[in-house]
Amino acid sequence: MNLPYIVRFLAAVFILAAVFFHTQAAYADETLLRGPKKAVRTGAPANEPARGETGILEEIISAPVYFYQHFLAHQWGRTCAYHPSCSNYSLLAIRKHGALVGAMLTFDRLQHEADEARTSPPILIGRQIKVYDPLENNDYWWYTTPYSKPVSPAKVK
Amino acid sequence: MKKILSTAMLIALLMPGGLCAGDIASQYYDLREKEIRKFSADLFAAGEYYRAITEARRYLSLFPTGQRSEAMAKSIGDAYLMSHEWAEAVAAYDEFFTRFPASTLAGTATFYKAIALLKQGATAEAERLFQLTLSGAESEKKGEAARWEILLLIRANRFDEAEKMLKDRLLRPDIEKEAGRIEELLKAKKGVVYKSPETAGALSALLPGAGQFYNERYRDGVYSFLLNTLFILAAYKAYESDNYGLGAILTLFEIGWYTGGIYGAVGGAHKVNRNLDEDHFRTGIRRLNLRESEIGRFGGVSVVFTYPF
Repeated sequence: MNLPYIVRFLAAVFILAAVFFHTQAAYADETLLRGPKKAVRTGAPANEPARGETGILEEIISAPVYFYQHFLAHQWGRTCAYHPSCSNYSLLAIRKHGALVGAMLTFDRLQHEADEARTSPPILIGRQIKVYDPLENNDYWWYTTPYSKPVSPAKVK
Repeated sequence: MKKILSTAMLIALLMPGGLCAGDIASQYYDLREKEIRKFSADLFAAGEYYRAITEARRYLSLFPTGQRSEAMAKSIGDAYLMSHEWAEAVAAYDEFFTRFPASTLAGTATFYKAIALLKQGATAEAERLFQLTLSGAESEKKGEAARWEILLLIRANRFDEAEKMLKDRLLRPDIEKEAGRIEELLKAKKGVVYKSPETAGALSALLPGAGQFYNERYRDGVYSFLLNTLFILAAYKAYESDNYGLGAILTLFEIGWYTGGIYGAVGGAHKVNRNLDEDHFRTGIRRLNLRESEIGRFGGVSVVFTYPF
């Protein structure tokens, strides 16, 4: 099909114009352009990386937690009121601090749940409001990284 | 002859245009510069911080030696600060200092960089910058920087240094209005009674749950006591009935509850102390009028920045 040049040119202009107007109609994400202050932030920030090296002892200690997560958690049907959930907290603690300290932190978490809601902030996860109690909230006083500076030492009277 | 005449006439006709060309270009330059600056300021005022940053960068790219290039470079940091993007704000202010080391806005930029660092948790560096703002030749933020510095000293229980600053004759005019309040804050913080983590841990070691009671976390204390009691009893019964396997498992769990309880008591005392410090800090921010600060004065815009501490 041999079309005259002028027709080809007009067709090209028409197509380009159509593409241009079509792209103009696509609105930008206002939330992103306004900056994150305007956006609703949900979920917890990952402050620091976990240690990431797990030995055989860590695997053994983590096994019951994995068992609970895969076979029991769904059966019981209750979701943890805390974020991260106790089982995830346990895995994070074991990965970050090793088997022994991680296990101790897990037992501590299970015991201090009752009063933590009074002092820890709420956080929206999915559609649920949970109590935000990350690992850094419980190990900040002895485990520090360049990102998590300790609070100044308090004078005891 | 006719040709020469017509050429001369043409030159005479075009000459004014040529002479005005420079002026027109200059006017266009000024207009464009003002336009971008105003647009960036409008976006900033409307809370469109990312767009304001883009426009400020456009300005700096098109007019690197423009009249307001310093203010525009600083406004990038301000916009990040308004967006609560602390790390980006610090980087933008650093870029501003590198580009304009002798700027008259350096004092204010230093102050806002200190705020961003404070929000990031880099308290020591923020303190250093507040001191730098105070020792600077001229800055409208001197009074605010002095109040922040004193408040940080009070938070860290460095009372002697705070009192010394309060009595400093050079600083006194900047904090004269809030001097009474600062004294009250100092007195209140001196009277704070902290929990001893060692005592809490020792109490929990002696009697599970006692450390939590000491920390006034009564429900935690009851749970800890009950869990320990139940597992000790169960393990004892298991050993008594020669069920050593179950006894060993229960003992392992009991060790967990026991050590976890001690850890929780020590950590709980630290948390109580941290909360006391933070409560006093927040009260200080409120009482010393540090919750808000005017920011982003470029282009005639004035936006209030709140510190969500």
